[in-house]
Amino acid sequence: MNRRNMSMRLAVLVALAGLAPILAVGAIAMEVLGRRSESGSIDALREVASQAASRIGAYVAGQRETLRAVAAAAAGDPDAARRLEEVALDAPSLGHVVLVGPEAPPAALPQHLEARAVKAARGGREVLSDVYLDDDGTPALDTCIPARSKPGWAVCARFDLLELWRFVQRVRVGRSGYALAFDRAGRLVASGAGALRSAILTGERVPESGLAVEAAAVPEQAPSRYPGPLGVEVLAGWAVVPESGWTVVVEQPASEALRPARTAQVVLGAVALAALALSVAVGVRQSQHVLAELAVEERWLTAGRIAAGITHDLGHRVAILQQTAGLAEANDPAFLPRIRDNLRSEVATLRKFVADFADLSRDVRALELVPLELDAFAESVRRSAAPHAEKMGVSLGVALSGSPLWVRADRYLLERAALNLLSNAVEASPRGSEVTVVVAHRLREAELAVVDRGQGIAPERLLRLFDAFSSTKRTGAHVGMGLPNVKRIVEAHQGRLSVESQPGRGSTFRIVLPATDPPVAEAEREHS
Amino acid sequence: MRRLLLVALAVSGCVARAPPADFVLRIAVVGPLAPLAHDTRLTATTFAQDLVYEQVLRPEGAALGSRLLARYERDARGIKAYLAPGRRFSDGSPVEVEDLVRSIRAAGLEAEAAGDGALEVLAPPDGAPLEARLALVAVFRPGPQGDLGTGPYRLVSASEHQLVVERVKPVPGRIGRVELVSTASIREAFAKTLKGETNAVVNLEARHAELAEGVPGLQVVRGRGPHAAAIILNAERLGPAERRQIAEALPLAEIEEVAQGRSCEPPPEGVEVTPLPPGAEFTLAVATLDGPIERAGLAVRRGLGARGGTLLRVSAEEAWTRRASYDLIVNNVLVWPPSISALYWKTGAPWNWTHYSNPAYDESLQRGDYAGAEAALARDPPVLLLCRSERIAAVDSRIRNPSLGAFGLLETLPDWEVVR
Repeated sequence: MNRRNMSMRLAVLVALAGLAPILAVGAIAMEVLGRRSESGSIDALREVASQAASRIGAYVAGQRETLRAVAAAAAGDPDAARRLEEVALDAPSLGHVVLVGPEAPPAALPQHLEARAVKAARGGREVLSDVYLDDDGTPALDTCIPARSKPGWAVCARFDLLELWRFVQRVRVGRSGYALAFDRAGRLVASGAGALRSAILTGERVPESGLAVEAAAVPEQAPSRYPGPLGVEVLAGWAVVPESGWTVVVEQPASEALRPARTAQVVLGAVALAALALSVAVGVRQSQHVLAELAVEERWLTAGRIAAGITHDLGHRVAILQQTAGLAEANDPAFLPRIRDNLRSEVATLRKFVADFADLSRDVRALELVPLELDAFAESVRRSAAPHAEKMGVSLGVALSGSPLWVRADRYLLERAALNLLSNAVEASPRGSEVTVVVAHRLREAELAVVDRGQGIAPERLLRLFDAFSSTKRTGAHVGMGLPNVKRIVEAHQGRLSVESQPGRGSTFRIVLPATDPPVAEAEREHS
Repeated sequence: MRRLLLVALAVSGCVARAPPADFVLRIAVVGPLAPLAHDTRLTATTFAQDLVYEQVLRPEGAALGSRLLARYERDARGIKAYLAPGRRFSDGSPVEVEDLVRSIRAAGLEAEAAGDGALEVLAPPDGAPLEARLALVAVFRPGPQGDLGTGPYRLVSASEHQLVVERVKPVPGRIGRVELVSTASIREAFAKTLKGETNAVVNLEARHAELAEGVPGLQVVRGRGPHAAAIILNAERLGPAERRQIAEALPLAEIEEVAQGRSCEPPPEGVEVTPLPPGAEFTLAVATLDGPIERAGLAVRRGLGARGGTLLRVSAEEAWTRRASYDLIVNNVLVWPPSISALYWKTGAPWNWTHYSNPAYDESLQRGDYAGAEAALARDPPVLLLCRSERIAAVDSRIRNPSLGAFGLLETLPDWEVVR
């Protein structure tokens, strides 16, 4: 993972850790905002409907009051018929104003009130018909008011409800909200939605007709959100016109009614995302700074460890060479064999020292991968390590997988890694013991394990066993570069390196690599 | 050459497509339809007459003009008229002088060919104003499928339920076909249009117009018609002095206001109403045509004060047959074009059923002095005019410039533009 990716991950982690709760709270806030907005819109529509219903009720009540006044003033007048006839001039909404007595012929009675209703009016009770459409299509209702100044008589009239049309059509909520008015039977009698007006004249039921009947009974339980008559979801507020049983509903497309809340939600979400992006950007930048500083510090630490290792090892070598020089300065021929052995040994040690550094400097990314049969490879490695093992008094064994097991590997580097593990195992083993190279096939993987019966490794050392310059052996040419180098090589092969160790019972190092098909089968597959 | 073709293709792609010539206007009308002929008088078939036939003279603004006559002039016998060249019937045959003569004679006037594409229309012995009469004469030629006309449309089919006319020469962007669809009532006609089964309805009342406002796909069109509500003073029962007293006593602006909800014009300043002297009650009548007329009758009775007597409600026919029983009647009269009033008030004119006579008025008409005629009527009023009636229709909103004719309701329809 490069520093940029690492800094990005660090920044995202920091941002998520900090902003996730904020985002969660924001999401909850947005949900609450949406719900409150809907309930607020419905309340507003209900209020408009309520005001409309009140005004319609007040209009009808006003007309009836006018008729009461007329009935009181004119009914007892000898010229009552003419005075009542001319009421229409001053109150255009009142028509066919007539005085009805006990002997009135049926033709003189209001068309939409039954005879018994008229009789009830003559008896002192005001009566009102349902809303009906007159022959010319305008809404009207008939009413009879007791003529107080002429007992046993009533003044009847026709209310022209054109004003109801006008009033309902004038109600506008937002850009598309409108009002509808229904009579007791759920028949549409006025509509602010132009597309529904034909239903007023034809008497056809509209989708809200059933709801209107229910709302007249229990307005609080009338639905407030449903598919509207124009094919869009609407929010609705219902109200009942006093004393009439008519209902008024004010509808507004939900998308329009909730647009402010939606806008607020979008803005809130955008702000949160912008904050998150800003946080990540700032975090990335700061992480890059921190990582750069860490890298500098790490380089100094590494240099220090290298220097410590080199100082320790080369110091030891220098001390031996100084002793050897002292022996040479004595010019004593008896010392010659010892001087020769010392020089030979130190040269070999320094050569290994240089080789370790050479491995360290090698670029493991430029692998030259070739098919490698792991059993044969293990046998080859054993042969290469045999002289050293023999010198150390340790025997080497091989446990092969028994069937061809192929991997793709850079033979030179993989051999360096395997020999390193073998060399370590031999050096860790007591004389007379055995080190075994084990090859095994595990599902789609190939394993090469080096098993010794040495002292084992202390658990606290296992944690940093593969860190560079962490070796504590400090004997011979061990500068702590061997195992880190092995790990580097194995990982470059898309493999993994692991160790199991029990103090006093030995250690097992495992190199696990992806298994491949045999070269011929692979070639055939590629060919096909 | 290839480049030229490419350019031509590109240019043709950029040119807007021509507007359609096959637009169909389906008009919902009230009542069964009569067969279409030049002299159909009743039923909504008269709307189709505006499209299929042309009058010898027709209102152009406040004056009279003609599409069929190149010119006309008065002479001692009546009017000498010259046929405009190139006019044709809907079957492509040319209009002849004989066709004009036949059409004028069918309207009860005398006419004869005068040679060189001219004809002589003789003044009627009853003194009826000739030009006003010619404004009501439709030109036709009998054909196997009915009367041919010279208008921009011709008859396709007709029944009592539906009458169809189509454009003689289709014009892009204009209405190609008009269908009159019969309905039982104005309520049904209006409902059909609101539902989209028809795309026009005419002769709406003002209250209906309110229901049409804001309906998707429809627009409300308003215009002034040729009629006006009028208080006709029955000259057979009222002398000139009484008529003048009544004219001075009635608050016309107030009557107009209560009758129709608005006044045609603001009431003239400084006009004082003079109460009627005591006397016998006047008997009034109203033609039961519509609400405003009836309210106007009530308002007139109230305006007459103590002399406002019995109010009779009579049908259009009874207005003539019972004319001996009332002193005033509120009814509709033709007032447009202005010259048409001569048909009512000239001595002996065909519609002058009150037998009103005003020599000064007659002389002004004879001279063609319409302003003088109007002044003579004001001095001895046979009628008190209220507002010219409003014509209201709801028509398809794809029509860009609909207007309603001041004389024939659909006379302007051939010029309506259809928007794609």
